[in-house]
Amino acid sequence: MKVRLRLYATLRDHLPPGTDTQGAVLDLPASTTIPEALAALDVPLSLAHIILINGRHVLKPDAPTRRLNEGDELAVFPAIGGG
Amino acid sequence: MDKIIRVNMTDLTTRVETAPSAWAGLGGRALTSTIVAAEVPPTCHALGPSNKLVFAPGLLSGTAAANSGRISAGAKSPLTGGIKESNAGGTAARMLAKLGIKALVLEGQPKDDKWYSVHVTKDAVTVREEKDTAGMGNYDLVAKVQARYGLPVGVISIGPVGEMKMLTANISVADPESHIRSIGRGGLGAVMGSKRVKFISIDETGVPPVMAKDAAKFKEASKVFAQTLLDHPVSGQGLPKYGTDVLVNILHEAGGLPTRNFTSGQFAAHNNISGETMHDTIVARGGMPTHACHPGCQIQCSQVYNDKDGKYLTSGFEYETIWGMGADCCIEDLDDIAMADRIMDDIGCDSIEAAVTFGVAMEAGVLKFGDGKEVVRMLKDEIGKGTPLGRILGGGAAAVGRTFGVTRVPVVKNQGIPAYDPRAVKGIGVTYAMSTMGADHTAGYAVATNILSVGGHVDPLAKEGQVELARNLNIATAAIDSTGMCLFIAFPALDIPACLTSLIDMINARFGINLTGDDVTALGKSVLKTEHAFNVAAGLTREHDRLPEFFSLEKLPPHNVVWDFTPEELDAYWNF
Repeated sequence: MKVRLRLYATLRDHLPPGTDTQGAVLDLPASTTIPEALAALDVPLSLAHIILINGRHVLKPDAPTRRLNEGDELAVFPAIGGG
Repeated sequence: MDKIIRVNMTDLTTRVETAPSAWAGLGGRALTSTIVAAEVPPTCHALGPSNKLVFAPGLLSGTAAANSGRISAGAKSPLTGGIKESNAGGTAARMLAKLGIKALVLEGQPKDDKWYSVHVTKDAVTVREEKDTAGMGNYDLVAKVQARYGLPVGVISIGPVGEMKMLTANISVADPESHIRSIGRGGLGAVMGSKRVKFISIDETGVPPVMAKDAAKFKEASKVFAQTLLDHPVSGQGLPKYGTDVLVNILHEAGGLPTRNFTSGQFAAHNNISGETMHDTIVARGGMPTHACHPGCQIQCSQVYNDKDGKYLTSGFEYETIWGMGADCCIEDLDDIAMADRIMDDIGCDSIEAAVTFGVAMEAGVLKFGDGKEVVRMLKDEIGKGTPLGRILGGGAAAVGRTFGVTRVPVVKNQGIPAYDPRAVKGIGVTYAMSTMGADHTAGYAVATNILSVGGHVDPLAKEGQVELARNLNIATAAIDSTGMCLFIAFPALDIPACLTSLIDMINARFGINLTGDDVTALGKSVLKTEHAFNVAAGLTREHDRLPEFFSLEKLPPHNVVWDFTPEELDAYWNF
């Protein structure tokens, strides 16, 4: 299955060179979990402070086991703030 | 001695009072709101002689405590019709505190049309007629005033927008590099203009640093406090590197980035205006991605943004400004937004109110969405010069909406709604509706818990828990705003218990008192209730504690959500 992964702030460095603003397209086995998808770009789950799938937050306790579906859009941020 | 300086602009006299004992434990917002509530008739005209403009450093300002250099200004707001406190960094808070000044109050109003300045030293407070500074922008003004005194004096000033008493007028505060920080919201620059005071200058020569009553205990607590700021990933890493503009992408991803005058929650060109892009641009042009807005700031989320030729263009280039001119007005060129920011600082115009105003004006067809060059021109040549169109735009989003018959006008109590759509970030929507300040994200920053996973998580798209969250954050913020602390200490305070306990320890050591956490909460509640009572007496009813109708009628993509709180649910906010 294909999912799209967007990494922001300090995590940007993990994206393959030339990745556009739509993010990296990952071709993964069905039912891949979030940490498995992040591992494809060498991003440890511990650095993923905020995770959204299709614009909805994934709660921290759910992140290690949450499985992805075909076409999911995954956006991942380190700890950030402002206001 | 804790002094209250009163400057009577009717007869141009000044007097120094000893602060009454009842005000001993008050600073910043708690003090400005207490003085305004006690001394300003709630139904007075905000631009008339009965209003008072109060400046107050915080309880910890002037000490070695990290991030304690915020100055509060308070008055009846000509924009909201209610009480107002707004605060900024810069050097003024530290200087006033070192001079032993708890508050400086501008009262009355001259009967003539002359302009004046107020100069504060350890020996005297002097009112002087200004013949050659009226009409000046803030950048040149700060340079001229500091050259006049031959010192980097503190400067609190208004630009032409404040002189013309427009409701978007802010008050500027010079920062350590003589650049501009802004007491932005609520049209307080118009109140200063109504007093005919172009600027206040502060000379701290000859005064020692503020010493705590228990110096050893203070030093120990301040070390713990500073360490918590370093340890938290938001205040210690995220904010210093990318500034507040790092929020563009997360709000876009979460569908809560108000776009094209609040008709979408996502902006296709988000990457052009993001904090990451700003950071890379600043570094490439030799600017400063990290910068302190006031002495002693440890977070350093400000920055210096250079133009394409590597020359200084603006600083303190904040998320809300970039969101507003960017996503809300659909301007995709960060340089156009930076130029707009520079001009707004110079003419003394609140960048949030102006951005929301331009979004409404674009919907009205006054100019086209995305036309950054025309925004820059209108700021400079219309608002900055006070043309008839400029005066309408300078009146703020609500005035523009009424003038041009627009129904999608994102304001609460006439104050423009900032950078988080309340339909998709419902906690901040409760703050917008219920804050005593009108729509003000800083009054109770539920974005932290709705979007940023700081202080836990409350689903931004659901109603559950939002009223309680907003209430608690508004109470805590009212207390923090009274300490002189930057609000961004709330990020570590929400996650690291030692942050708040060390903050209280510092206050106790500073004054030789024994506050508890409950006392601080009680202070926050008391501030809110004082402000609310003023607003009620000024004629602001429960019906003013509501969001505009369009938020309930129009679904916000991509989540297609509406604002769905009932009046009863919102009114429960005041159950404390």
